[in-house]
Amino acid sequence: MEFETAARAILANIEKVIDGKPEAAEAALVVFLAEGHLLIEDVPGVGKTVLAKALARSVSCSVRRIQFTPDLLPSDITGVSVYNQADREFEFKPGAVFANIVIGDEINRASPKTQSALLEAMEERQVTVDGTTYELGSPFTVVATQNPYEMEGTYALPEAQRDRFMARISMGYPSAEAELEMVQGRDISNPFDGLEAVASIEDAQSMIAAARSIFVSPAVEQYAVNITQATRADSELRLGASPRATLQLVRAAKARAAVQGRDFVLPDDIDTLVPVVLPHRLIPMRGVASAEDVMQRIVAETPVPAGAVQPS
Amino acid sequence: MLRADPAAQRSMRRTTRDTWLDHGILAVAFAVLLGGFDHVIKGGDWWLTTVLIAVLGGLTCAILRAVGVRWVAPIALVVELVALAWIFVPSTLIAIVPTPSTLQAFGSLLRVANNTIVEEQAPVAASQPVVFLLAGAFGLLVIVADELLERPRSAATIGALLLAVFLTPAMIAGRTPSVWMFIVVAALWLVILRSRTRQRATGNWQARVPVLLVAAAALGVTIVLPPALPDITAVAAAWGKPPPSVFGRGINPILQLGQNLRRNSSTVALTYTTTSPTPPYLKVATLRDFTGKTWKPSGTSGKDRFEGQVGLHQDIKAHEDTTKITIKNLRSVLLPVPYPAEDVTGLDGTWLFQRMGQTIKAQNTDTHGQTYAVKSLTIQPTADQMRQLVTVVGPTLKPFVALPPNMPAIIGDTARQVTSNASTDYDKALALQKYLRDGSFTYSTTAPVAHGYDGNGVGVIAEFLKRKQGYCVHFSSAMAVMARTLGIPSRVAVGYAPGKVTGSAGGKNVYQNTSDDLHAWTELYFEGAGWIGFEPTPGVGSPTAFAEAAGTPVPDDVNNGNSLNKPGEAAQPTPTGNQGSATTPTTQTASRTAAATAGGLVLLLLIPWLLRLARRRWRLRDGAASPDRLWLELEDAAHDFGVSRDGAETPRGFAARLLDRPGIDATALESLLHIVEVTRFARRGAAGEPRPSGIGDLRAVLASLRVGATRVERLRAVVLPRSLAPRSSVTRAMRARPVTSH
Repeated sequence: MEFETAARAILANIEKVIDGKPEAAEAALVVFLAEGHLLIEDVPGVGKTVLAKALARSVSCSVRRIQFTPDLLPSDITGVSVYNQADREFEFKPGAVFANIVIGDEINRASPKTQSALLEAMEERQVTVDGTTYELGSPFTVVATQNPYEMEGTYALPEAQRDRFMARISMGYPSAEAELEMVQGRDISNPFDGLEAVASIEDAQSMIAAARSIFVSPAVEQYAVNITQATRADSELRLGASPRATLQLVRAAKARAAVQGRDFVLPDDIDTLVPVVLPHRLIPMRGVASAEDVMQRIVAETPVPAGAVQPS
Repeated sequence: MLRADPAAQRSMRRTTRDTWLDHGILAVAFAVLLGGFDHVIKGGDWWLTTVLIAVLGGLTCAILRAVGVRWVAPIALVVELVALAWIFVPSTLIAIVPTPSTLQAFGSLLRVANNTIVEEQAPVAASQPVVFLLAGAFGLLVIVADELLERPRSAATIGALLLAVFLTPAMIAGRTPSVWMFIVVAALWLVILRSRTRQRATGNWQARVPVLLVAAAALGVTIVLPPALPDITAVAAAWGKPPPSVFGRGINPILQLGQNLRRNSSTVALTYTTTSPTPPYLKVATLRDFTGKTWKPSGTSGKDRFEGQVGLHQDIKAHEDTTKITIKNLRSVLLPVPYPAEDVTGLDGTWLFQRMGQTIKAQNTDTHGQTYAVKSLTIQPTADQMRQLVTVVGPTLKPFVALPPNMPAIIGDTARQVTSNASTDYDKALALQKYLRDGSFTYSTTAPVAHGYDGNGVGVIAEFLKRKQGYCVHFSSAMAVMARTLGIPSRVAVGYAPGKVTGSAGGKNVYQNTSDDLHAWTELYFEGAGWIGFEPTPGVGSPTAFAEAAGTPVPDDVNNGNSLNKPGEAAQPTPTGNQGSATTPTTQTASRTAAATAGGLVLLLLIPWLLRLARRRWRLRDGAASPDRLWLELEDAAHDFGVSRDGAETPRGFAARLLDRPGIDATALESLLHIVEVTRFARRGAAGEPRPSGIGDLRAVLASLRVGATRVERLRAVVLPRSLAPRSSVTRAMRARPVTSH
């Protein structure tokens, strides 16, 4: 299957630069193919940016990186209309958001106003400046990073805003072996040097279309709905998952099924993706350890529909 | 927040309706069970009162639950108590408010009911206190049942409750419980079980298959079990326990005697060797107080004299014998010993000598498995010595001549008539013994029951003297009561008649007593000789008569020292001392019953396996085995081998756990998994290629599963296939979830 070969090649490419993190690589690819946005929450220096860059390089699409700072303005992101003296017209200078993959580093350092500009662009996939609407390219994926342990002078994304991200992952530290390997490899050369694109932007677009056409059985749809419904009724959660969460869960599951080389979604895809797709949207009750634990329990408690028994 | 899921609301409504249905079914079950008490209580409208109280309690609970009040059980209890007071002791109520005197009245009603239970044989008359007790008990049961139905996973407890109510009247009346009632109640319980364990989400018939199988198995057991267990009491006794009895447990041994004698199987109770030339009677209990309704042991009192050598006239010859007793199948707090016992050695646990009657009672243990040696006295007076003894009834002997008021005239008249020629107490005693033994009386364990005079009250004795049919209880109590009318102190002894010789050890005969040797006899008091046993029951032992040698003691070889049977010159020795109580030999029946029971048990053990096999065949039957069925079968088979099922687990997750087992065929499992996943979750009919059936894969996986299982797992999979239990909707995660409070 062509799709599967391409997907494997991209994953292999990413793993050349990120050692020992296949889950993070897969999650990033799944989000990219499902046309979602990815939030990476982790301490600095674990490879958040490297992951995003590796993905972008592998697909040979345009990458823009925004380092968020408190004085960053919304127009820096969306772009600005500048009066061109020669043409005597206003000319639109596109902002950093005009790329296939946008890496927003330390998004929580920017002011809420600037954050909103990015989030709006993420959702609408278009930017409106001075009354003119500019479509963003396709594919379009924002990979935002956020450091959860450094809070002073930052504006952490509110839960409602986090809902815009399809998935949140944390890289985690590499294992001792992987870290040693990395130290030895990096010493000689920049890992990005040898990184060739394995898929064209057209390939990526057709992959996205293929992922969209993956079959989801009614049983699996029901399963996804049951899980998000359960988050709304759970006594340990103050805020449950939104209908958008259900939608994105199923979309991500389709992409994952495609990456796995299947043309239909399994409940196992849902089970695998729930821990990255749902918890960042939930608000646990006071005294409840974490939304991840609650989600783990809900998944373990929700029956898997067996599907209708076929008459034979 | 979104509105609640309408499906969830629907299922909750259904739960409420189910609970109401359960309540209704349980009410019907109780009504059926109430019918069982028909054998225990005679006459009257006892059931009306009982039903009234039970319905009142049930309605109170229902209304309170509908209204949403929290303290349902306590309020219902109060309502029932007020209703009971209003029915039984209305005078103690102020309007409808109970007063302290109400509680006092309740207390006295319960006391009277308790006495009735202890003293009377079932069926008892439907007197007010008895009806009060029954109505109160059923009212309480209804409240308990209501509380249980409100709890999840209470089906087993409800079953136990129903079983207890079902068995109680049977144990009281000593009858085999009705098979039909059992089937009806078991069926009703299965309906409750079904409604409490079903998966609410699934509506297809396949979800019901496990429950139907369990129901079928239970019904099968119902039909097989009662014939295999002909009599609860017999089975209990065969297991070495005393027959279950609610009436008179441990208080009144005499009441159990008739039941024991009428039983159709006998078990070896004990064996013994003795230095005495003839086997002694072994006494278990001494009954002093005659209430007019029954004989009872006296309460311990300081006035009771310690019997033994005390009071023995110096001219009367006596010597000590030692009897070594080994208890086999007898579980009792009272120890069988020859009378009068002087010393007992070799017992485990704490035992107390009872001053009156020289019997021995356990404090914290029982007789089972005990081996002990008893030193007892053998008294050998001559007939003349006995005639010279004059008994003066003092304060200590007063209870032994006490008679209830309203004695039927026939008892005293017969006693005087029989003893008209006798001048001394001893001769009178012999005359009474002769009248009962050699007269027109016949031994029968069934006639008294058939004619409704079983027991040992005054009425029963009068009836017995008229009909001249009865068993040891009747003979011994009749002689004791008649002796009392003549002023001779008397009491009834309960224990074992002399046993049968079964072999020899160390040059001494080994005697064996079975449960059929249970016996009652009469003891009369002679000042100077002590308590002398008499044997008024025809066909048992031999009558007491001391040697008629004027002035001189009779040599030992003639007066052979048996503490009860002392055959004199006139009496002909009866070699078979144990011929008496049992009417038919029953060893053969017992062994046949045992074989049938064992066969039945084996069949019972195999039923689950057969059911499991039948279900597998049904699922894998030709041409109909869909991959879903194959997967169900795989889950069940793995469950049998100890891999738990989980409704919240994906097929892939289950397969991953299964792969952890040793020896599993991974290729076949993955192939089967693929087939199932495609069937369940892939686009229908899109793949043009014909699907493999997967049956071969399943068989390969099952075979590898069996090969990798331990021997214990394999045995359990045959004897107790866990997959027969209904699939629970509770997932493993829910079970593991700690209870949190919010």
